[in-house]
Amino acid sequence: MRIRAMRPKDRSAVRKVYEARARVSAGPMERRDVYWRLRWRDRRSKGLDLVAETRGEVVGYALGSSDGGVTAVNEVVWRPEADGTDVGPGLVKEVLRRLNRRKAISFAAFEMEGSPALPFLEKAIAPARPPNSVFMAGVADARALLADAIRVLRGRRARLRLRVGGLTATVGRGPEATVSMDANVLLGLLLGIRDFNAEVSARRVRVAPRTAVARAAARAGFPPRRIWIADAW
Amino acid sequence: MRKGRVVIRSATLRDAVGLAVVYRHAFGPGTAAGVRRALRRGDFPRDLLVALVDGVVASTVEVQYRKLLVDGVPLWTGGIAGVATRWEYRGRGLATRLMREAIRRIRARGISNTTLFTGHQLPAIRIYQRLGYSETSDWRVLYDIRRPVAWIAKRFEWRSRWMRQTPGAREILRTWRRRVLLATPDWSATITCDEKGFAVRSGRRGRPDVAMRGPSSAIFYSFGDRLAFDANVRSGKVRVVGPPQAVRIWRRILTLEWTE
Repeated sequence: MRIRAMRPKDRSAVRKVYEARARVSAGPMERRDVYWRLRWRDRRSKGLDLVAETRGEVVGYALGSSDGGVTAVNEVVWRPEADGTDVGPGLVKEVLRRLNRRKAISFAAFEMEGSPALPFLEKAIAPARPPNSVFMAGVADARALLADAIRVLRGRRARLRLRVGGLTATVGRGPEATVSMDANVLLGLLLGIRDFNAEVSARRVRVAPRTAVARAAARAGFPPRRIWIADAW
Repeated sequence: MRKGRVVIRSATLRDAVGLAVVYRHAFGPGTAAGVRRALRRGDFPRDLLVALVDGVVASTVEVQYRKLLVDGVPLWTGGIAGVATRWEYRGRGLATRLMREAIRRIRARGISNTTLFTGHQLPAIRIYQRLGYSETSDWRVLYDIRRPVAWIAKRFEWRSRWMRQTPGAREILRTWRRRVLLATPDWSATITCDEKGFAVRSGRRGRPDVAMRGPSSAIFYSFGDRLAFDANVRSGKVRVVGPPQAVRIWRRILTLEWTE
């Protein structure tokens, strides 16, 4: 693995890394062309954008910025295949080394609790301070939420009947289980804020029939995900 | 408290001057040109709502229609941003009315959920909870401050600019002539205030009116965070000594808490 400064020709590969990570995450924003155009134009990050390369392929990237000595690690992302390798910690270490060369007054990073980079950043920068900012989500329309859930569950090849309030929807042929819950719980599960097993234990999610097969099918529809949004607004 | 006729509608470019004032009162330095630029940005669809009281832009809420990805599947979300109310119109429920209208518009577009980012210490968090924002996840901040006095100087440079543009705070800049000592086992800094703003110098300079002592991390965490400031003082991690009125104002300056 080699870490080097990002070149303009790496930009499309960086987008692909972000998209690959988003495919196994809950919460990242869809980034359109205009987002990336603005991102590459940011002068504060000149010389502080890095990529990690393995066998000539970009497998991760780190974006840093420096504003009069106040430096920040904006984003460290790698392909899911590189989980458990030294790509993540290597990128964090190298971006901090380069930021330090800019006569840094301070290093900062802002991450959601589910960010894959958070443990490495905590190790390299400092333990996170007590939380003072929070992401909040609420249901606007339960029917639309059910439709969203069905689209996500279809991608997970789930075979479930979902009951939310008075609404019911089925995904897959011959549902193996009926899962009932409140709309808020469904939103929390979809966004990776709630954990399926904990919700079942707390009886906020009910699975019928009460068999191991049904429970396993329901669990497969809501695998553990932890919310991670890189772009606060 | 001023009363008047309240109109809620979408903002136009002609509201930019009024919006800049509202944003300054809530978020710090900003200009009408900056608001116009933001209104013209086309990175995603948005609704900027304003509440006018007798024709004056008094409060605003922005809805950004964005897509969250769950396993790569895009889900629309109504992202709430820029909730701000002009100083003299606070406490009248304008932001709540705007939020209700924002949620109505999100629902009308067939969007299933609404999301936002906010601070634990902000009073607005109670409004959001009441409106049904039940799902929460913390946002973590990591800091390694290598040159504490330079960092504090940067923070106070920004505070000076913010306070010059904010009515309640401007009054403090004009009249508050106290010397504050920040002291930790590793470094100390003296902060003074004149009409233009704050000056930060390293070390102890003269006899301080207010002294704040404690470990570096507890002092850094108190910046911009009333809850952290109060918790640190209550637990004795940080000791703040000085005349009560001066300490109260120092707390407001440090935490940027101007709502009480």
